[in-house]
Amino acid sequence: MKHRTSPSTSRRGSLSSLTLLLVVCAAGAGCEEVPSSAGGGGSGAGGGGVDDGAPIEIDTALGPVFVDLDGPAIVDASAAWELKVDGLDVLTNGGVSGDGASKAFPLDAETWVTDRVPADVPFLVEDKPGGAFISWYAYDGSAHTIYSRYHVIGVRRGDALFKVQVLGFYGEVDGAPVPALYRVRSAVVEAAGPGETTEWLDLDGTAGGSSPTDADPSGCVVLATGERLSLTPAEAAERSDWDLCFRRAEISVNGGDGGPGGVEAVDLQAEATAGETLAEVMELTPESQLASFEAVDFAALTDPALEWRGDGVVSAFTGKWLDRTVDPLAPRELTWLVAGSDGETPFFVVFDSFEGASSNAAGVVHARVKKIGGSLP
Amino acid sequence: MNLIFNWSLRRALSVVVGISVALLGASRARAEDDAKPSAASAPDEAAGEDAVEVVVTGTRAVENRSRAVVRVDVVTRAEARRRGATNVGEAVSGELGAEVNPSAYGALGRPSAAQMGGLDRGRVLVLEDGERVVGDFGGAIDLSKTSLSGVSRVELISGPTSALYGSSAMGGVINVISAPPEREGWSGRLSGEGRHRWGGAGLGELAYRAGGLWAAAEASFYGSTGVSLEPPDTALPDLYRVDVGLRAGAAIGRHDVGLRVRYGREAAMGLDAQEVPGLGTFLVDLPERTDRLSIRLRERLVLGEGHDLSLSASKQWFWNETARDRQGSELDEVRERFHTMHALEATGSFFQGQWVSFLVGGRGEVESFHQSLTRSVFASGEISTSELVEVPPTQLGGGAAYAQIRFDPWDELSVVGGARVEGSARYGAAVAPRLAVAVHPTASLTLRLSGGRGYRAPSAKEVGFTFDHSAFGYKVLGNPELSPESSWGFQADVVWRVERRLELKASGFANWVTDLIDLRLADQPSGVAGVDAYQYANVGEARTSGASAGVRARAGEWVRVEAGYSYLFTRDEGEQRPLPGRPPHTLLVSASVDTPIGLSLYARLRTVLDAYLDDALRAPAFSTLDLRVSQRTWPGGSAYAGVLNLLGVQKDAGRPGDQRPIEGRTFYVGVEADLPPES
Repeated sequence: MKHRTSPSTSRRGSLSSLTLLLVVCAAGAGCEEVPSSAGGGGSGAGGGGVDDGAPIEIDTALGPVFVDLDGPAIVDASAAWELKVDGLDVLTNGGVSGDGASKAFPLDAETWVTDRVPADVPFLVEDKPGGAFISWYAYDGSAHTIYSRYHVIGVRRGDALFKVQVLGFYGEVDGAPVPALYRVRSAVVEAAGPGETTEWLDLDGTAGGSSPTDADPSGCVVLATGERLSLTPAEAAERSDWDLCFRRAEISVNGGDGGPGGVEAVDLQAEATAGETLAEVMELTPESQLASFEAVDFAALTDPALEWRGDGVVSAFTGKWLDRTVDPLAPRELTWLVAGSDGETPFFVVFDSFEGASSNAAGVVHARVKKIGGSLP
Repeated sequence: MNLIFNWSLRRALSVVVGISVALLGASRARAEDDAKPSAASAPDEAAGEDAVEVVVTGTRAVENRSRAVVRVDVVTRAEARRRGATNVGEAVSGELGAEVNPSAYGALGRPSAAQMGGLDRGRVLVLEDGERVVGDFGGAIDLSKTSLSGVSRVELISGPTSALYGSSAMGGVINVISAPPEREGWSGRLSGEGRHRWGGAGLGELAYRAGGLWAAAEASFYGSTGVSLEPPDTALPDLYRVDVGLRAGAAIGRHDVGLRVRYGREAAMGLDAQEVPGLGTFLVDLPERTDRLSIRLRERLVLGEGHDLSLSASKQWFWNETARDRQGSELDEVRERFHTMHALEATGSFFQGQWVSFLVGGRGEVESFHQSLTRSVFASGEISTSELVEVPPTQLGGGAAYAQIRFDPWDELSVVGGARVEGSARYGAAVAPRLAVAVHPTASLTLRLSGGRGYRAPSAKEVGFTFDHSAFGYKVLGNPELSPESSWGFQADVVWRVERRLELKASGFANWVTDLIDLRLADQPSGVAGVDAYQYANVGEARTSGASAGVRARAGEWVRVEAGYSYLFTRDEGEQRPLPGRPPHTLLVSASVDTPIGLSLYARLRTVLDAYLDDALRAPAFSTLDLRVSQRTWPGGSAYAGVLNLLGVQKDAGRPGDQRPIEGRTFYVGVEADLPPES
């Protein structure tokens, strides 16, 4: 085994840590970021001095709403906003979502009373591109090798349901391993039972090499027919006939920001990602994971708790700020640490309730905001 | 496909050793040459006695080592032989002031780079006869690539010496020094050595001297089989190295002219097993070839009255080619690096030997570097070959002026002060002062104190590097706006010759380093979503300090013992943690016995305690023990045998940061002779 290092090693490690933290926090298992109240602006449990923050109502019924936390106020997209509440997601004005420097991190609900940035917040999360396939692989930074996690991904095009499992990232050409030559298995899933499994070999996601240009095509597939297409990103953005496109280490679906086809997907083992170690993932094989693929049936793909989505942007809030297991939808009891668009001003945000939430939007979101002390990590 | 390495190693070794033995058998060399201390090796041969040894690196002037204003440690050629060394890296290895360990730079290959004062890579300056050596690996000059042929001694100075030598002289300076032949007429030296693990070395030197005219030619060969810690991967590759050199000099009247030409080639072949998920194991040959050519012409003009003027012109070329050559496939990659430097330098020394003397000098140099990667890849249905320029042709030029004044008001006191100003179109100016004081209150006691500034100019790679690893989520970029790293450092040492056969010494140092160049997230995004850009920047601060103590003693006429201990403290001020891979405690003990019958025994124990790597990991402690026995066998000749690393400690390939030796136990046997025989 080699022991090379790269800057990305620590970055990936950080992301793994982050994912773990998010899941732990989201599960209410107790984030440990609650600091002592010493030095803080609030009086903690001592009574009367807690700053409840400024309330704000965010009506998402008519489309995305931009929120300036320094007020707080609903503002125009051209103003210095921090949060964008869009349907069932909340994005921040940073990363791929905006020109600002906003980021966020979930904390225990009790942290609200401290009025200060907890000392042990490791980092804040910036918005980045992502979809159901965002965690399909684990990365071995010491050898620059990608290992499939063998998660089963549900794919939905209208009423048609499919299950997909990535078996490998490497193909062999001229006696050498070539990255981004995918091996994938898929099957139609119907109420009567799963259809025949199709195994795709050497799906060409090489896209011209390690630094693809816009002119280099992705390898795309139509799951229902088994057809392969070679499409540039621009072509994929225009066409609705493909389901999945493979481009280097990224797999996109033809829905949301990924394309006009209305295709949605869901990682059926997303919750397991945080607990998977690289060593465990490296032990998995197509054969050992066949059972998990075959176990996915129509009932599993029609579970109402599944969060189907097209490709889009993933923020610290995505999938974490609301509870889909309750009806009607409700926000999770968390305190969100948010960096202002200037990247320096810290805010606490809590989402108290939704009013008129639907399957597509949170309705009127009742939230509270306050500016807090301390320095952001 | 084999791009570089096509050498039948064992056959070549057999030829070299065989020729050496045959030549030795035919020779009738003088018997007692090794027992006679030369000017260069005297103190090692007779510690604490009245021999005079000169050093030049501390002040750029010839000084009696025991009275030098700046402490200079010396590894003589004789000491290097006793250590079983075949190259400068092995000769210097284990000096208390310098850690040399190929295992410490695994990510860079296997350079034997020195760590001095807790600083390493581009922060230790390596000179050959006072001329800076180029051709680094990640900033590290590989000392193992310099053979001992033609080398008279190696001088080491700890602490910042940029006031004299400019960039990189922060942690210390290593100066590899050659010397003219001492003997009139023809002279020479031959040696041949076989090793197990399989390998061997041969060396031949031939010189002629007629008064002030002299010429010398040298050639050496070294070869060894590789080491595999985790088969089939090689931790050390199969290796062969050839060096040839030509030196000549003429001292006519007031003119002393010298020419040195040296060429070396090293070729290596490693093996890497690439595990690919779902596909199995692919074997990749790792050929590497390094060529280095250096030419230096110098003239010393003696002006009289203690004045002289030295002029030198030098040029170096460095080529390095590494490849990943997949067995049975054309999908390979070759990385080429090319580095040159040409320099002109003039130094004037005035009023030497008087109570006030001066040294002034100026230097201009131009350094060029480029690096490219040629890859054959399969993408979008076809195999294509492309060249990626990782460092575009980059030229770093600059000029420097330096001056030094020395006061010797009394025999008991010497004071040297100096400064150097260096300017570059790339990074502006750097100024480095230095002050050194030596006090000799008695004939047996020397106290020295020095302080100064060091700096390291950004390398061409740090300025112009582009490493696009977008597929794995990052890019590394050079930064043309970098400033030099800089440091303040102080040294103190005391040497007490208690009596003729006993010498005690102690020293301490402290360095504060600012503007350390390291990678950080770039201010500008990479331009590609999900890809981070990292860029070199002046972001780090560190400090190092340490102390050492040692004793040299001679028991009777035969036995010499030397022991020393050094402590090192380091701190990365930015990260608030120690600098990784710096062993805090090192212990060194050596003993030698030279009997009247020509039998010599030598033993050397080096113990390095565990070192910080990160908060959860430490490099393990280890000890190495080297033994050697030699016997004069015929006039001028001797046979020897020895073992390096008798305890057999070895790096654990699965343990990141493990600095134990990659080589295990190595046995060697050889013969050597000096020519011609003494009358």
